[in-house]
Amino acid sequence: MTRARDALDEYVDGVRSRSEEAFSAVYALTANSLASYANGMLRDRLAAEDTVQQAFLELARAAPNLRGDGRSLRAWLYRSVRYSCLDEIRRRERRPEIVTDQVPDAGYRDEIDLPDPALQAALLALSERQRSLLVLRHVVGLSGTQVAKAIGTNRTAVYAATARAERRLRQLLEGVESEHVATSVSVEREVLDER
Amino acid sequence: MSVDIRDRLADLHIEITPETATRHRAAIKAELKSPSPIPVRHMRRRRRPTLILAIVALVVLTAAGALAAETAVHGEPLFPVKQVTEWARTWVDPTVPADHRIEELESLIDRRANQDAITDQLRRAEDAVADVADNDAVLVDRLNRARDRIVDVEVEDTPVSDQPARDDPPQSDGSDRPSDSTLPPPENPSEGDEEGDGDLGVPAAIPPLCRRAVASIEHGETIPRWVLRECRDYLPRPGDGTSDSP
Repeated sequence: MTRARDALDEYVDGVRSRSEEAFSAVYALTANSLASYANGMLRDRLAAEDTVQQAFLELARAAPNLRGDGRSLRAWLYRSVRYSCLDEIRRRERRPEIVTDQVPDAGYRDEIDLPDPALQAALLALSERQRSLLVLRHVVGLSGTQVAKAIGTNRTAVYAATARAERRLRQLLEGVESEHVATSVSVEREVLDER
Repeated sequence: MSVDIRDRLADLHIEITPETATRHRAAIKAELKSPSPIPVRHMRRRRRPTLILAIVALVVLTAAGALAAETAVHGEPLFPVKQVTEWARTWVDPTVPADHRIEELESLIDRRANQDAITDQLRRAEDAVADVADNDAVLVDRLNRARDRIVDVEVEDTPVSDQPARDDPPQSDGSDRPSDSTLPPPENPSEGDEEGDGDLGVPAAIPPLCRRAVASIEHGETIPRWVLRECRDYLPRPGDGTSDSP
């Protein structure tokens, strides 16, 4: 049984030799998916785009040592983005939260433009691993094998953990949405009372 | 519900704007123009000799340690190393432990080691030989020769005036000297030699080994069979009134 070819297979040699054309083609094939993954992890579009650029810069440095085929290259990129996201998450946890009345500039955080804020809030409440699994499987659309390779586990574990993560997300989502409804109702009442 | 969540997750897919993509491509291009930080061939050349040297050093040190431990006897710092190599070699040759115990016993005899140490080692050697299946004849022979040497060394170490006349009848005054081991060493052998009877309550003409054997019997302690054989002429017989021990 022959394994299905990966779209990146034909660019692996070019990447190893640090060919600009090969990098450009790999970027075109993967950048949006990588950005979606990082965005799902960080809920921050600008930071997500930065991690994608960071991953390609690291790839340019490590390219001569790269081993394997197109799948390995794809997994390498997802791992690089994942590590960048983990660094960013840790940095945010260390950074003290400053309470202010000032409204941030538009574009400082792109959260306003992000689709389905309730779902993104629920995603953030998951553990990093569960979030990684769900985003890679359902947002990026990787197969179980590709996810396993990207996060360093086996396919069976990916399927089991993804099912658990989905259940947890559903519970969280129900909580977030009921809270959101309750908040909307109370705001409407306040407005009516003021009138 | 599950399908609903998957659909909603799929909607989170984002696309990088053309401006951002242009910026990224420019940064990647600049990075590719700069030289690669560590060329792969150089890195391999640096790593390989270090790895090979480390492996060689490890093998040499292990071999040297095992070799140095070969002559170690019980209680010496390298003896545990010897036990480890011995354990490994036992898989190939089950007589190795017995062989080593006898070698250690011979080494202690050569060094004129403390009598207690020799007696303890003899016990270990006897146990090790007993553990060997079919009681290997060569090992038993070597052990018996080592026992003979212990007796010879005892006799050599005893001053000429104290050499026993083997036909002399055993005499014992039945003194009640406390003893810590099966064959306790004399606390002050010279004193015993001068006074004839000595502290052990047996005549000084008897070889020291047998004197201790007599004392041990008087204290109700067991003594090895080979000592009984060596000293049968000097040991009190049941009912002769010289001792209350069996």
